[in-house]
Amino acid sequence: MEVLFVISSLVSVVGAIILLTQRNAVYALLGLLIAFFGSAGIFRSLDAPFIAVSQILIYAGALAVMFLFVLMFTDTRTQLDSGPPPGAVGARPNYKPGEDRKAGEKLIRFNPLDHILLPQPLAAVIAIAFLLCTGYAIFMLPERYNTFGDLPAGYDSALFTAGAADSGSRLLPFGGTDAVSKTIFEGFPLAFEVVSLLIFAAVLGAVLLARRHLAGIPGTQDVARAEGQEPQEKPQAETGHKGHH
Amino acid sequence: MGLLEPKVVLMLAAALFSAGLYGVLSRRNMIMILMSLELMLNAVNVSLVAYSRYWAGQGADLLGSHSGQFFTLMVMAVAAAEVGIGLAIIVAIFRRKHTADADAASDLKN
Amino acid sequence: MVTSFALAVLLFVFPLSDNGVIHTTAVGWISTGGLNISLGLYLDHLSGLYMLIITGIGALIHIYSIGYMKHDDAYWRYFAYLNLFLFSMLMLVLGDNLVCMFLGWEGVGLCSYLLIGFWYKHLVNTNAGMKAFLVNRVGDFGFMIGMFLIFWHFGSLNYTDLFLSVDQATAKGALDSSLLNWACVCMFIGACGKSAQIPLYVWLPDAMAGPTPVSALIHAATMVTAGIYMLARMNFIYVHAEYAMTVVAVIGASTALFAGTIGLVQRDVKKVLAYSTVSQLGFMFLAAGLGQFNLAVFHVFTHAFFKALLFLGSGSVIHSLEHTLGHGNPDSQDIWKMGGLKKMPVTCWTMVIGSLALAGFPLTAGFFSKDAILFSAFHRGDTLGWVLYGMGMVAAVCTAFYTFRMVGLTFFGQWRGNEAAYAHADEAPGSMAVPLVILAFFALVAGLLWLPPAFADLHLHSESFKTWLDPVWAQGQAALAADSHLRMPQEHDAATIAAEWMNIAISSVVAIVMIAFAFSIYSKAGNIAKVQKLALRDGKPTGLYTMVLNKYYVDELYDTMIVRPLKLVSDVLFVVVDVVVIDLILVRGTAEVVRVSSDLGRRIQTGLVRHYLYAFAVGAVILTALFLMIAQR
Repeated sequence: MEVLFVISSLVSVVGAIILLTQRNAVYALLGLLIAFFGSAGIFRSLDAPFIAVSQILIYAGALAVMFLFVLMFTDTRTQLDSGPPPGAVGARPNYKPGEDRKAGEKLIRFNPLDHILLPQPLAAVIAIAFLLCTGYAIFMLPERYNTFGDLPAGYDSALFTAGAADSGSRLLPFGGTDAVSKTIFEGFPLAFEVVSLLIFAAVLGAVLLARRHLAGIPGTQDVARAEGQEPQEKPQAETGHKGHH
Repeated sequence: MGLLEPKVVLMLAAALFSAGLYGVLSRRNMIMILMSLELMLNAVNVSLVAYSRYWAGQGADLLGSHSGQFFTLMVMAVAAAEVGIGLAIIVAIFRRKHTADADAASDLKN
Repeated sequence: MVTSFALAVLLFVFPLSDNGVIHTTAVGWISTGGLNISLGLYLDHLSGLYMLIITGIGALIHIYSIGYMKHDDAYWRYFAYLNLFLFSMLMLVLGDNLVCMFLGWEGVGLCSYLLIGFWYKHLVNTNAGMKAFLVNRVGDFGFMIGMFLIFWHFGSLNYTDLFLSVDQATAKGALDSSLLNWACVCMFIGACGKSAQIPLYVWLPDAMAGPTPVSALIHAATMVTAGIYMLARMNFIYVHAEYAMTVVAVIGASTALFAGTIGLVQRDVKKVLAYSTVSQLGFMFLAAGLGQFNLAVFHVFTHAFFKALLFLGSGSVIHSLEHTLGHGNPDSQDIWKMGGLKKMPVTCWTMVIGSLALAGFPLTAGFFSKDAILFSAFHRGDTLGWVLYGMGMVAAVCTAFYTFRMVGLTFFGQWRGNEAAYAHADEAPGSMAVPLVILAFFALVAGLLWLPPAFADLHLHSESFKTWLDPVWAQGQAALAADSHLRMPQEHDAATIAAEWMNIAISSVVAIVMIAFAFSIYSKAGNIAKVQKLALRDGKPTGLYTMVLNKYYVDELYDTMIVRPLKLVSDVLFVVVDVVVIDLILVRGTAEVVRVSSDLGRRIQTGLVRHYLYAFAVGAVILTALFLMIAQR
């Protein structure tokens, strides 16, 4: 388990670094994905197999795909954070990948730093200050936090106590699906229901926010028309909206 | 003293959290901000699961030792909802501004 | 409603028949310190009887309303209010403690307000609703004070606990009679409000602004008798409060007389009935004040039938006239502009039956109950008894007179109003006629449930009503000394029987003579003219007639003494407190402070999300550091 923990924590740290440094959003997403898989490994090494699987299903599966989809949809993969870092080799103002070719030249050089973001000092200071604070707090934790201790043999399914099963009841292993589900449905049923309601509301909100203008339905937005966008600024989008007029 | 012990795991979680915080603060692309936010939530999950394991080792009963894992699931659900809404907002802003720059969404200024 | 009536009958017949009391406690409601109030139901013979009246008459009036309200826009709202009312009334009657009763008490008040102002587009109606509500509040205040006093003295508000405490206190001689007197007077003030007694009767005549079935159900048969129910329910306390009982009796008798005289001159058919209701409620309180709770409830019982019948009959007349005259036209209720409406046979003859019962025509329901009340006043034997008897007798004379004045003017003689309306005045539809007939039947025979003891001479014996209710009074009566005025008669000797026969004879003769007198005047056009010549001088009302016509100026008196000063005070308060303090200093001042400070704060708002994010993160880090520093201490 310790080996698994070391490997997966290294993996998640590497993933986090990729996420933070990559200029291209798709690469950054890949870093996030790696970090998620690493976390799943950490969960497994902490004897939480159910959470580990959920992590992969929900984060690595659903959320990453959603991010990817929106990245494609909005076409902002290399926008913004893509400006060349000050002092990078071959820095040009308003750099855009592929601009080199457009100018008729060949892509002369490949500078890996062009794809990397340089650190932002203020953000780094704040983050490191936070890390120092929490690290200090963790360091000051009492002695008993020095070890995880041994897992109990299992949990009595009827009495909610550790390791005290009568002959009649079943032992539930720690972190297994049955133990977690028992916690959810017998320990926190209300919170569970409320979260389902929250997700329902989120789905409704997402649909309402993201859909295009629908004729005659108030609350849906026709963005280009409402803003009075100039056609030359984004010709394709304007023509796309012309159909609604 | 091995590596798999509470303080190490919590430290790792803090490091991931700070990394996420750095990402949130340094990026301008809203999608990237959201991704970094997910990393922060994930770091919290790591610490929650670590506490859950810790209490199991301390001899807590089923409910006490698993509540950390339960909260992890809650965080996942909330994160899913948050990403859904957040991305929808980004799409809506993108339609209007044709950019995902967080600084572009400053209509409420003044 | 019919179903609930059936259920009520079942409850009434089966479990209660063997002296049983059903008492269930549903849930605890308020529980603080020594005060424990639960939502519980207490069904005994008294509340069972009330339940029968409420659901029975309620069912008939629902059927009637289907026809009456058919063309109203707010048909659904009407029935929603009506059923809310019935719920509250049942709550009032079935609650197992005074707070539950108060809950129902307020509930019926609210429904009464809603239904009086039902046609809220006319200012008059809403004003009448507000008047009813406000006047009732005065009474409710008294009720609450009484409730507090009782709680203070006995430490509980549950009937069952009170039964016990009163018994124990009586045994020890520890009953604080002056406090009990005050508590009973206070609660009687509440009853005055709800049951329209002097000085709080003024709302009931105005309450006739509501739909007529509502007047029948709420303002004649059920709600206004809640005061009597309260007195009867608390009889075991009232019998220990002799002064309060005297107050009740005197107020009851004066109300009976006072309202009866006003009823003589009213032109609006519903107002006549309203004053007669006030007057009959006065009779009930007279009986209760004399300690004859039995008779009070008996009169409630008979009155419910014939008064509901009269209201529904008048509603039928109004309904048919409104077809032509238009909704809300006062002419459709003015008996001077009616006459000869016996072309509506069902309405006419059921109304005549109801009027006979109200007027106390021998052998009808009203005759037995009213006669017994008068006799109990007579039988009391002292000066007060004689005075009360005299007042009651005069009130009975007035009752007989104005009732048949109304019948004569409405159904007989010549039509005096709009010709087209007369031509189109048709018999009520079936849904309205059937309840009339059923009620008319009961108005005739309900009195037979309790014949006067004197009738035993004729080998007629019927006391089922009395024996039914006797367990309710048992405790209070047992605690009374044998010579107390408040003791109900158990046996009758020969002298009493003779006096009773005399009383029966007097009131029969009076009733018949007055009926005949009023009818002969008001059913012939010539006689009406003569009467008018007598009362009017140069077309204007004179003297005493003016005073009675203006209801003894009570409304004006209240206006000058209470409403105007209150208005003045509130005007001053409006200027000083509302305009200056609240509007100028508090509201505008707050707004100004906010505006100035936000003008400053606005400058930090860059509108860039990332700046906020930075601020947020820095704040979070500082807070974490702070927490750590505090934890270190």
